[in-house]
Amino acid sequence: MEKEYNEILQRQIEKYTGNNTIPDDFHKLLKNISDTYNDFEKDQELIERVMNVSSEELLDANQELKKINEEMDRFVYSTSHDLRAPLLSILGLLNIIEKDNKQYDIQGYLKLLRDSTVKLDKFISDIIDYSRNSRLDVEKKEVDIGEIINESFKHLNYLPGCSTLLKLINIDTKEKFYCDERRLTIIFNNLISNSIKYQNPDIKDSFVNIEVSIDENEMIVDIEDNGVGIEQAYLQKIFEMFYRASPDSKGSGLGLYIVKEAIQKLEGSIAVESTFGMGSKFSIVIPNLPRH
Amino acid sequence: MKVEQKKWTVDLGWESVSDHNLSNVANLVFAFGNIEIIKSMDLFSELKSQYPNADIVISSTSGEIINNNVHDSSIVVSALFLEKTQIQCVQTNINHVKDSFDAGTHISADLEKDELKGVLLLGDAHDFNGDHLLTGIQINLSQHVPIIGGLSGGNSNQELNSLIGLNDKPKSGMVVAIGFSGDAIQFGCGVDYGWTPFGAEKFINRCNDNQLFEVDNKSIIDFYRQYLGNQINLMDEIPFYPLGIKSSGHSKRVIRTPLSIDESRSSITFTGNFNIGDSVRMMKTTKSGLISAAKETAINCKNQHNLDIADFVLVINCLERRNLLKDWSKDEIECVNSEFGSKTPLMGFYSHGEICPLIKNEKSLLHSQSLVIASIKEN
Repeated sequence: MEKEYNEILQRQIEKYTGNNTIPDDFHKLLKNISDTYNDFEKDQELIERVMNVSSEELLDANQELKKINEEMDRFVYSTSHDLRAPLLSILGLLNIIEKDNKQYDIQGYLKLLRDSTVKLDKFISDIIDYSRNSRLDVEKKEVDIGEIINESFKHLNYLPGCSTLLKLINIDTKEKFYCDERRLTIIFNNLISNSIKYQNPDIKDSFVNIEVSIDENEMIVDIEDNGVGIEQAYLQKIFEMFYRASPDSKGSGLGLYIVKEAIQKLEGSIAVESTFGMGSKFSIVIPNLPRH
Repeated sequence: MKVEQKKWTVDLGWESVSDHNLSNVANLVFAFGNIEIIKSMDLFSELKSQYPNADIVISSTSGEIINNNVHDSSIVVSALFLEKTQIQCVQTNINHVKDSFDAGTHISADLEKDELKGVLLLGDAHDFNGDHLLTGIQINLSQHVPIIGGLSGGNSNQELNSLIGLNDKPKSGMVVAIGFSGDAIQFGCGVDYGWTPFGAEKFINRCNDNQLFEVDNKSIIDFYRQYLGNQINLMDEIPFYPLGIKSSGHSKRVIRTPLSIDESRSSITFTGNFNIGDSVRMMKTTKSGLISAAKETAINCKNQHNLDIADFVLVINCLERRNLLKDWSKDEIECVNSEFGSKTPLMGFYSHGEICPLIKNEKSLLHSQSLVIASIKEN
């Protein structure tokens, strides 16, 4: 009967009572004390386990905050730098125009002014995309991928080289696709605009080939071009914030970073293959969200 | 106000606990009893013949409380004679209304609200969503009027109906409300748990009424497993580890106890509703924690009557507390009883959901794992 007591209590009983038998009346009391010992031990285990869980959670949260803080630091530094560059060139051009010297080509300056302003605007809208992606929850609806791609091309039509680029689009839809339309638009806009911007100037038949296949589980997209390509050494870095693969890169350094972040939000994946001078191929997989 | 009490047990039948010759003058009678005993005898006719002029409220319980005793197979009765207070008794059946909220609005509409000082509420835990029922009643009732009471059920958390009756044989699916009006009546009420939170604060991401799916983007089942360990049978343990929830802007936690697990939907159903964004921590307790909380509640309740002694005390105590306290549950009730003094008649029952304002003059809320005390005094 005594065996059913808590182990420590059992030892205490043996130590202090020796060989004396315990009167039956005491068993109820000892059982109650034994239960209390057991409860305390159980409680202690619980608290230790939860402390470990909480400490890990704290560590994770801390790491996440550190990452965000570092990104924020880089972001503020690079943004202020990049925002100032076009503004300084606008100011410089304004100074020249103010001198009102007829000899100079006002129309030419205005074009340069426009270019700087467009660049500034593109940069700010990239920042807005970035902020939207990190702030907003995934908004699920049925999306028409063909429509999103067409809109992207229409939207990017102002870019030099867009009209002459050969566009091959092949969409194989076995199922309706449910996803976040705003994020898909950001992803396609950025990838397509890269294919347009980084065409190989030495060849005539520049193309972009977009292959989409959708089934009930996922959408697989390959976007391939025969543009300038990316050097092997830079390939791993292109998805980093403010990374520009070449000094004459025309972008904000945010485009592919935003693409990667948006795909992460959609729980998809992105991979890139490229041969410098031959072209690049981006492959994306994005899950088809459940309808309900 | 005068109160007399009696009880019925299998061994001794009817026994008088206190007698003030209230047979003809008693205007409100409460009878709480074991469901099988209530089924087997015509309790209503019996009480009606003893108290022909009283409104008779009968409820089945998960354990009866009278003065400093806890019973299981008994009926406990208190007959009240309120000399200066108007009593209104209203009822509705879940089958006659659309849902719990609708039942609440019916109850509220039937109560005359002038001079209303307090409402006692008894409902079937199986058929009513306590939160929706309360919302329905409160939609048309000032929050300064305390609604105090509980949901009665079977002896376990299995889905058992209770039997509740107002001036009739008790039935399932019932909710009964008793309104007290007039200047003479004074209500004291209190609720406390004796539960303490542990672990980090989490936030509710996905829920549907009393079904909880996710906290901090993690399945609620995984959350419990992570805290309580993987080796255990979760359903055996989780009733002892309820959640304490806090809505934004509130300082005190309200307790929600797990009722059932649905592995296929990764959800756990609880005793009360949740809102997305509520913060939540797991709770634990000890026997002494529960008992001292009961004492605190009694003191807090008693102090609301200044130096006067309450005429009648109603105790609604969660069945889970009894399961935790085991042979200490009588000590808990003794603690409460001794605060009010042995001369103050006390009765109550073990419940599946308790109703009381958390803070005086604020809206009444549905609780679980709690002890609710209502003390009544007629000046």
